Amino acid sequence: MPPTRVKWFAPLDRLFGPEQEFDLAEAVTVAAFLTRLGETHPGLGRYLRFALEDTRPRGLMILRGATTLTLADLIEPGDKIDILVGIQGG
Amino acid sequence: MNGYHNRVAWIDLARRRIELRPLAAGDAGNFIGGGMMGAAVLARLTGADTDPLGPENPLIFMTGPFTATSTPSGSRFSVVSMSPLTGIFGEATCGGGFGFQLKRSGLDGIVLTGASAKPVVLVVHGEKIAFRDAEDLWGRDYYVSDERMKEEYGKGAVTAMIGPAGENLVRLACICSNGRHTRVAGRTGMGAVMGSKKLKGIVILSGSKIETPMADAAGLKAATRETVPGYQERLGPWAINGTPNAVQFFERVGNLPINNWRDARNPHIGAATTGASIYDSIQVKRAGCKSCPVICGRTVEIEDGEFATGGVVEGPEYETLALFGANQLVDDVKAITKANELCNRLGLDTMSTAGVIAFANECWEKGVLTKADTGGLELGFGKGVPILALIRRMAAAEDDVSRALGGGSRHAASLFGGASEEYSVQCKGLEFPAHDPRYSWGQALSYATGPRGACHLSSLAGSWETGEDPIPELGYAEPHPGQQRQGKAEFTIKTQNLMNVLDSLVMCKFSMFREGATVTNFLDWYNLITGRGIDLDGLMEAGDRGFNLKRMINNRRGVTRKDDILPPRMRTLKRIGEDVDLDVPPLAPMLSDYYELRGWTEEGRPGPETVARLGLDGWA
Repeated sequence: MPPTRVKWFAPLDRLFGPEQEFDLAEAVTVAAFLTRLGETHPGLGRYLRFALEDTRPRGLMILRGATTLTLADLIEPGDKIDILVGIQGG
Repeated sequence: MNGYHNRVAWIDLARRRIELRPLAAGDAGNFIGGGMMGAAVLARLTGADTDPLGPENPLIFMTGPFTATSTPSGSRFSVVSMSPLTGIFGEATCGGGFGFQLKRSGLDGIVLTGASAKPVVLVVHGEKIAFRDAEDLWGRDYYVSDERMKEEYGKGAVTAMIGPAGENLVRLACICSNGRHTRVAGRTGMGAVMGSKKLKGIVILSGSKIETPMADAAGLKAATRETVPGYQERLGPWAINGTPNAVQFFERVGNLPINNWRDARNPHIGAATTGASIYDSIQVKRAGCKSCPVICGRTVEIEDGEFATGGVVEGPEYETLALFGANQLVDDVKAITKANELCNRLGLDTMSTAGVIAFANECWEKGVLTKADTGGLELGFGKGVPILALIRRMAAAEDDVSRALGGGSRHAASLFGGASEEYSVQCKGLEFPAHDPRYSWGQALSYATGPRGACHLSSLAGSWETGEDPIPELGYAEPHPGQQRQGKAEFTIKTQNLMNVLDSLVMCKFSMFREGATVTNFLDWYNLITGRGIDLDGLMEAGDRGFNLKRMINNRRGVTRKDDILPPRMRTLKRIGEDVDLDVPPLAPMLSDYYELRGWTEEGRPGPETVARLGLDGWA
């Protein structure tokens, strides 16, 4: 199975590097994937605080290409996903 | 009158007369405060032909019922006048400590009329206001002037002052506040209005602690205390790098302006100029506004080299980073930071200044401007140093080209001719903020219909469309998709009305990110302060009323449907790149939907039923 590639955006890349690869045996929901990341990436904890309480990961944005993923969407083995801190500006 | 001192200082600068007057009957209930109350004053005092730089144009500083209370992030103030940049309604809000101290001095606001014969500073000490001649400050940059005022009146004195740009009546001039931790009343040229009155600034001395009367101060304190921990927890991760970290985020999703809005993506610049890059290199510490627990600002220092800042200064926020960075194809945070510092010293709105410079760079690229025009200065995208030279020249208004540019890109395009109109990215003369209407159709509609021109804060539609910040009270527990026409008009109207309320309370809109504070909080706090006991419909109706009043002021100035448009680039150029595929927004049908729901005529005027419903008969 090809690895699943996660690209981390600032400031998460300062914690985890620009990219990481994960081996997924099967598709997992975004919620499950984030839960797993929270266990292995302690620095992610503060960004996950409200991320799993609704249908979309509040505080984080998970993108696959041009598609924004909800918590129920599946991440397949081999996917390339981008994880960004949900940020607003003005 | 709970929530207000019911006292506004009316100052005739020509005669040097000061009069304390109560708020106009009905204004507090109808318009709340801040920008909407300022609009009410402006509507009464101006007409179709009022010259924005003439003595008959009033300059209005206004606080709101939230100012200087225990509400978190509620100490901003509004500045309202007729805009010399756009010729229509002008408004800017500003953070820092000035609004707080103005309210604690026992004043709800200050209305300045006429023009002084010589440069002057107003000095407010509690309920006493005095005039200080300011010939010694005229020509000084804002940091020097602010420091001088602190030497004279004490370190706790707070200022709102103009720099040389305002003195030279540059139409992009802003009003600066909060010293080196600069906050500005940035948009629509309020600094030029102040300069036209020869008013160098207003200084408010510390020490005054006049409390605002409140219906239930203890209740408010308890309610706000309960909110703050959650507020800090929800906004904390966002505030670490503040709005600057939006640069990389918005580059990825197709919202960041790049190369005068021509390019879809530039991951290199997105990464190089995002907030974390400032944090890694030049940040000194986080900095916040008075009474705000979020602390989303930052101070920076560049110690040496061509971009040295001359000490610790406020760092650039998202708009400045994006518009002086990616939109100029500049990838150096130090160059951008220097541009920000120069604008703050000289008193120029970073957003319009950067928009005009991008316009100038494209004129250069296309041969509309040459070295003969620029006196040898070589413009062009990707260069940080010429930007700094152009900022200085624009503030000094020292030659024909810099005077043309200082009038805004719409004005400059009218002088330069040719295809240069295409390079001017503005609505109603106000240069775009750093949010792409192709990404957010709510912003498209907002830019076209907003009272001051292209303003993302008019609705903040782009934020509410991401899903990060639900507004269940308005029916948006789920976000309204960014590129969906159906329902967009209703969504835009509701968020415009709500943002109008926030500009009148005067509350920082960032407080709503991550549901830090909610509409329910604002309503509760407003009722605890004023004792009015209104419901959500009543609050939103006030926002609707104020929005329509601002529109009526603009109609009186000649604004109609023909002006509710997007610039040529946003009507014709799709934004297509890797993982980004954004069409131009379908403005015409959305505008028709919008007019119908607003109750406006085909021509774009609030119709008789709307005017009657909102109690605006005879207002403008």
